[in-house]
Amino acid sequence: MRYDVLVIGGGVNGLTAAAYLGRAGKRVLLVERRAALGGLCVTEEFHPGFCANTCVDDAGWLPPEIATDLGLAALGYAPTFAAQSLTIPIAGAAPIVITPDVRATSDAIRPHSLRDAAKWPEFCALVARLCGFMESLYSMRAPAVESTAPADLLAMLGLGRKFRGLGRRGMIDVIRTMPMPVADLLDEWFEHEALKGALSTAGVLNVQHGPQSGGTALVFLHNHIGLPVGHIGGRRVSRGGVGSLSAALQAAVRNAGGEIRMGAEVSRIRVKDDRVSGVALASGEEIDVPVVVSGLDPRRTFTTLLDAGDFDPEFLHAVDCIRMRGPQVRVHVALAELPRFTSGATQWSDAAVRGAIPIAPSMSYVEKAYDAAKHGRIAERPWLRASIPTLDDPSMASSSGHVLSVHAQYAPYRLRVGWTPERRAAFADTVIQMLEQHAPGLSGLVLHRQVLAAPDIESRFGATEGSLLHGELTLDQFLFARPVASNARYAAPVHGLWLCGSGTHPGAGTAGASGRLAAKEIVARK
Amino acid sequence: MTVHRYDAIVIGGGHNGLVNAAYLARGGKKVVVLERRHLVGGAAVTEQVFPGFKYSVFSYVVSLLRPEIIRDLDLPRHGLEILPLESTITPMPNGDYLGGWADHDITRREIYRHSKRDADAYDEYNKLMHHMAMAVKPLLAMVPPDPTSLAPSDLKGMLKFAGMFRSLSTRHFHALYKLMTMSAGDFLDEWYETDVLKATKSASGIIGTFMGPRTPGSAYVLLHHYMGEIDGAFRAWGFAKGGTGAISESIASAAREHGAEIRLNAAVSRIITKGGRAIGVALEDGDEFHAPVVVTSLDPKRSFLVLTEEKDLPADFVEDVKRYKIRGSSGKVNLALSELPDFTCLPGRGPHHRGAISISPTMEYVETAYDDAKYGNFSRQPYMDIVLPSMIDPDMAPPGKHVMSIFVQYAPSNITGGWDAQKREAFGDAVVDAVTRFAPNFKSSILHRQVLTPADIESITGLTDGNIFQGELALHQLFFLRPAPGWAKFRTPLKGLYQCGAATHPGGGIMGAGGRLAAMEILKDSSLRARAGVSR
Repeated sequence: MRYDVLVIGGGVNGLTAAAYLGRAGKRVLLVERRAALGGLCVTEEFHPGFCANTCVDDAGWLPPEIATDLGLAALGYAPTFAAQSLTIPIAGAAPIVITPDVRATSDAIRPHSLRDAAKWPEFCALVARLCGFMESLYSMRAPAVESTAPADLLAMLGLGRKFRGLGRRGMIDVIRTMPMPVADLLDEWFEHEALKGALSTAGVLNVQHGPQSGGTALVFLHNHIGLPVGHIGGRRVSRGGVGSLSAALQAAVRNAGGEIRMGAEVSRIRVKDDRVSGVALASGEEIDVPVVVSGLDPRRTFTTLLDAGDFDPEFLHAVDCIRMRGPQVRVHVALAELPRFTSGATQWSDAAVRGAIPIAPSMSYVEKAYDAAKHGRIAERPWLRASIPTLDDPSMASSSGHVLSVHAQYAPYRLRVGWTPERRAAFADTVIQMLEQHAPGLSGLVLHRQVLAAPDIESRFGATEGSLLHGELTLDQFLFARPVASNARYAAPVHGLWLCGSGTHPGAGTAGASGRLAAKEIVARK
Repeated sequence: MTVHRYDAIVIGGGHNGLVNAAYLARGGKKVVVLERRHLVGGAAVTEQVFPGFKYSVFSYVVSLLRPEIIRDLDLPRHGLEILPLESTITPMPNGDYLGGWADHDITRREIYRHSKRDADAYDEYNKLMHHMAMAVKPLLAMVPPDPTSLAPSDLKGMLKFAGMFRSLSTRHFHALYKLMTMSAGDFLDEWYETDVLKATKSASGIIGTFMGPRTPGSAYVLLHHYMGEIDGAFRAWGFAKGGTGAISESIASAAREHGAEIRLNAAVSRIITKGGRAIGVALEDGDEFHAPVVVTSLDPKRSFLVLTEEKDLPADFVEDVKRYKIRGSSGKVNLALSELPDFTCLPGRGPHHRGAISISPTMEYVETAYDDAKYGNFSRQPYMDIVLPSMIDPDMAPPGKHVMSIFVQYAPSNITGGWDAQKREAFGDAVVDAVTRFAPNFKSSILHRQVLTPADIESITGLTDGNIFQGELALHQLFFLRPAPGWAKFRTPLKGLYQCGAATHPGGGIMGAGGRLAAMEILKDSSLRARAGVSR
């Protein structure tokens, strides 16, 4: 069988691109190295009878066009918003429970700060307004600021109109907020340390920056795209975990006539006369195909699947300069039963336990944790975001047991002393000890734990430096500068080669947005 | 109480206030400058702190002073003379050093000694930075347009602004975008491999800011400092003969020649308003000065939160001023020395004593210095930029003796528990110890020592929190956002009140651009008023 297009990597964006290309009448083959689809968006059994969202807790914003075009709801992916967003532990008092209900959350904050409670509704509105604008940026290909082509000017004009629609203050807010440190943003709004500490983690999630780093306000907003007003620190839940998105997309690819091969690792993209001619698999098999779309991260695509000689050295240098830097460790724990969370003698409410639990008592705590990573060390006191997915979705564990998933930062990919099994275990010990302060007896409930540091994410999932974002999503690696400046529109500088992964605009945290936009470009280009 | 009447009153006799007054006077206005201290200059003053030893007490080098100001005001005739600083030496912990010299080839050879790759990159990098600085330079002479406004002047400004970017090649546009958004450290990582080179270069991305070399946004400050020019020659830092006070004196002399009056020991206590406009100022001694135009060269916190009553200003403007980030991060140590420091890496007396000595041995060193400041401490091992003015201008010290100026970072204004005499001396000791590590004779050569913390800088000059830029040069405080969104055109919500300090576009450094641009806007407004037949 001859194919029109071959997609490398069965992550969310690869699957989305394949589905769109199939729908456009292309004969598509998608090849995946692993035995499972979904890339970083997977739910896997990490201990017999216990499943976890291995890399990410939330599949991210699903552009409404994708849900509709591919009919994902009918295929089993119809996420809802979690009823409890964040449960912020407070020393010596009951936790502050942040829910999507703006008024209830204001009430929950009030005992801790009258001022913050009063400001909460306005803050929620600001975040929703700014995210709304970013959504429109994310629904189109990256604007080409330097282009004078009519289509680009028209797009810029449309964007300009949306921008103007924000009103004067709204426009100022957009321009002013994006480059800010999230710490400055939160300081402008709130006074309560624990509240600010917990919220600031959304500004540094998966990036090796601290809350005082410029541009982390952008990361904060990025992590709230697609969430309705009030869902600060919110997330989507779906039965079967984040992997249910991948399963639905897999069905969508098949419905569109695409073919999927698993356990098929691409070892080379073949280039002949500056043009893609096919791929070679690790098995030795060769597939001739005129168009190759890579869902892998740009560094991996250009430096491991192609020859340096295929590119302009300046382009390769730019790819080498992309900051990847996975700063996180994922710890998944199989628990014999649900732990009891308490503040002093008082047990947390059932609702409180359902929220994600940030352990980040202040912004300077988070900043200090970052300092360690900056100097190539593991944070002695990392910030954590713990959640118990089995409460929202009991299917994640087969028995009466529960799963505790912890996202922890910072433990840099480039550790000065190098990663060892002992360092991983010691880090997991720290995580459990920190949580045990809020859940006495937690360590006694541990049946098994899985610890995935950045190098593990790299070796298992192929994400360079363990970056869950395929490259930090910061202002300098954003929009027209993603993955590299002047190559933000999916076409690689080799004819017939395209990128569609989350290293491209709009990037990680948007479920399939890159894949969809890339497919549209490919179809338009013929 | 006496009431004095003028066409314009300038609050503060710092270099921007003086430039503003000179241009207004040149435009035919009857101007008075009111300076709180006994001398002009603000943070650009020369004082004899110890008998026989003269210091550029605060600001100590010059490179950003706008050439059009030097020309328009004919400053050389008024005594301005810039002596070049010829080198920068960074001592290294291993006893080696990195040198940068005025001569390109010597510098290149020096870098080659450390890394062949970096020597090659050096030329490319300089070319790029030169290009970037040239591209951004027109912005310095431009009133920032407001992108949220549809007023014809703003649209025209935005078009000009867009045209400036469009004239860049794609490659240069993206490089500029990187400079605007990245950290100095990350930006330099893309070019160089030699740590000490990156550390020394990145230091100019942190001067005057509350950022470390790894903080995104610091690359812009790198560029800001790169825009320096003396008489049109790019990237030359210099030292004013007679200290930086001589720069202020030359501007003051030009202003006086044009008819401006400068009153010393005249501390303004408040701005007088009537019917929503500023009509004058009151001094602490009760005297009043009335004028249809009042220009403040002070920082916005002082101008709008101290000298103006909150009720006279729109609430959202007051909120924006309160939000304006102005943390001070640097200190200054001025010393009298019995002999020159003898650096281990370059023993004896040498040409390096006529240049800057940068204590920035590694990226980690500078970044760690910042870490201390983040949590409310002064850097135990600070970054320092050291010059020996008496080596360039012998009049600064008695024969055989020397003055040394040490710019130190970080010394946070918000140090835990506040600054006091004990912390000031401990900070001074840390500075002396850090230099002594590289020059063993240094400590014993000190005859006198003046340590200036941000609190001292504030109490002497009036700069809020001792911030030398009147507000951090962070991306969200630049261009049309400086100092407050929508109020970047030197006007304020109070009719008749203008601003011209470093808190306005284009920001800090002895540049004078704010003073000049504000004067041109004021003259434009007043000619409009005159044409409309409105009498004052």
